[in-house]
Amino acid sequence: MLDLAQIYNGYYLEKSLLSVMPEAVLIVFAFLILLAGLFNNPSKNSVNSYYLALIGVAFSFLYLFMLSDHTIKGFYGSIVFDKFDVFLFTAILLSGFLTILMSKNYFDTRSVLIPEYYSLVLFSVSAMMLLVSSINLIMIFLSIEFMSICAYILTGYLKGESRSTEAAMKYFVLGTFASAFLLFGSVFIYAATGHLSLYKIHNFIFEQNYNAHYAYNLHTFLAIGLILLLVGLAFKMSLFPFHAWTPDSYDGAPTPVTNLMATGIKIAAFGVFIRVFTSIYSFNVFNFYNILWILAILTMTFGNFAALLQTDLKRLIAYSSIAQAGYILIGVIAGGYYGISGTLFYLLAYVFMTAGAFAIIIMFENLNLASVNIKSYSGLGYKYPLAGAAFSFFLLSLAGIPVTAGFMGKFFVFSAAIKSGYYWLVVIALLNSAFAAYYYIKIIVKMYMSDNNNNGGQLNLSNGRNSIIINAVNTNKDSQSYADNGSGKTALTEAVSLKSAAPALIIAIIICLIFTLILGIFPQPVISFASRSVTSLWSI
Amino acid sequence: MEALFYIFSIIAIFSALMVILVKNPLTSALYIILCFFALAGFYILLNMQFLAAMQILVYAGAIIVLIVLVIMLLNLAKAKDTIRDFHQMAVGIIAVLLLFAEVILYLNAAGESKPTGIYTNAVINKIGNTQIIGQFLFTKYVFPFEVASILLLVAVIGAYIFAKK
Repeated sequence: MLDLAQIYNGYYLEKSLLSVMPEAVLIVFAFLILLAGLFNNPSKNSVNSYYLALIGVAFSFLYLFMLSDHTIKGFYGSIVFDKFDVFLFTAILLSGFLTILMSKNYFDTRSVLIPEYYSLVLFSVSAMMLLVSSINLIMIFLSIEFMSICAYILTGYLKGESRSTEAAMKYFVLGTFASAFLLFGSVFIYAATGHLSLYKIHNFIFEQNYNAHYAYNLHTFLAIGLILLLVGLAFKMSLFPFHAWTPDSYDGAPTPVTNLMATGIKIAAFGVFIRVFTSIYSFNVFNFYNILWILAILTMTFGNFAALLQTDLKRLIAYSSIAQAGYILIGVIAGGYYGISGTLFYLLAYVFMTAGAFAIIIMFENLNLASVNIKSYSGLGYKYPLAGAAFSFFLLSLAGIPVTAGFMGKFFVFSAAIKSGYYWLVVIALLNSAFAAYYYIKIIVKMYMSDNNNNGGQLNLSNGRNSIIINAVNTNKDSQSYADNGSGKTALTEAVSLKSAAPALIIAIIICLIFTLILGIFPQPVISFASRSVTSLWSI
Repeated sequence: MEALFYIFSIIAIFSALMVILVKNPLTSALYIILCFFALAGFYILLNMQFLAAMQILVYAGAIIVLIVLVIMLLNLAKAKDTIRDFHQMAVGIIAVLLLFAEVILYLNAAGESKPTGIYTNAVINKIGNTQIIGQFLFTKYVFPFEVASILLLVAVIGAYIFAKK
């Protein structure tokens, strides 16, 4: 393997550039996609930009792999590339990769600007990576803004659909407000410590803590700053009182973009929060552990109760993602080696199960088999045993049933919290996840238990939505076989009708399935990868 | 100096409030200009003449002209009677008062604070603040500077996407 960091050891600028190589590659490919969009006809463009985006992500993975052993600080302490980044970059790139795989099929049937879409996805993935690796308050603010602007545009990408535009507008207004809080918090922290670099702020507070003449004004300014910064970051993590944008923008955004927001943005926000938390908050200037404790409980409980009432699948997953953010926060509160590595594991597991669930929703949406309404899923489990089983598996994983990635994630996070002595927090979290299992299993029950014996065949023949399957199957006899479901013919019809689903989507689902299963039964390699990445965190 | 600071603060807060309180969008655009001038005053008090000039040139000179043009193009004479939600207003006022009380309490407790950086007024006047800003932009903060440029490009792409029919 070519060792880049060794070659450029003596050159400062080159070394700086190396520290942002994975992001830089994505940005270059985003520009390439925009440029390539100038020359070809639209139909060719959509294919070209799709492949270019995939190649860009692949190259970024390659650079990540080549640099993965090094810790490189670049650009006068704005950016660091360390083991912690390697883990989160992997998760973010996977999220971007799965999003691109899902997008092809989804946007082909809709009239939107395709090349710009893929370039924006690459831009936003690179922004998430920049956010995770920034160790400077200015860089944190800029990359959050960069990431958010990409997300606002992508949310409103379905032009002419009022829900999409409304979602983008709400997200934009609330997001700008949250950014103002973040900026204001940074200013207070700067006023209190006189530094912008997290490392220097860490050292400053560390020295002050052992100083007998501890200045009270430092303490207060720092506390205000940290609270405001927490508000800004909690908005991106969609914790409870700052969650209001989540359901609307998840619901209104195009489904692949919802996937990117639910996985990538959440990982990036938690990544930067862990970095800031371990360097500044862990001094407990203002009883932050208590604040986070309450936030975690409120987030979990609210997310689960609200999810229970939803009839729209995307809204349900939005609320459940709020609840998941609460569980993830428990890992951060537990802190230490176990807590943070458990959090990282949970974040990676969360990518696969959420992306898998969204891929299946997109597949059903594309084939016009079901809308995002939960009711339209009734009986789908019989008609499409494979897709139904996969969807059930992802939902069970989100609920945290054993043998899935979600279970192992919860296990690591909760056991870390118990090790740190947060017994009541874990009790409430367990009650919450038992409660959450109800609405996940409700969907599975809907898919398998509903009485489509009575009107299943009728529905298939009369309902215009299903015309595509009938075309795919093309014979009346086969479509009749929906009525006598449970026979061997259904597997055949599924195979035929799923053939019209894009192969990319099926690949995405299979990747998610395999990894959800592997993380569930054999988590050891990933958790050791996560713990190795945590070791670099204490010496930012 | 202190008196000037308070005068500028009062102007800035008053004009910022008026921006959201007046009904006519053109008037509120003009109040933004006033607000930016007050902020430029702060920069001058901090010995940052270059930033003050930029503030007036870029914001008051260029951006507000754009905003006024857009208002004229859209023919937004007056905002329509908006629905007033008293429930929301009450919650908002309570939250703002609580926040205000908190800030007052904290600032009273904070007492005197001293600048801790190495760039004091004397140093800035010796080197010249344009040079300092230039130096920082191209050395220490070169990467945030570049990221900001990409951010603006993405925003332009977004504007193009939303504006294209």
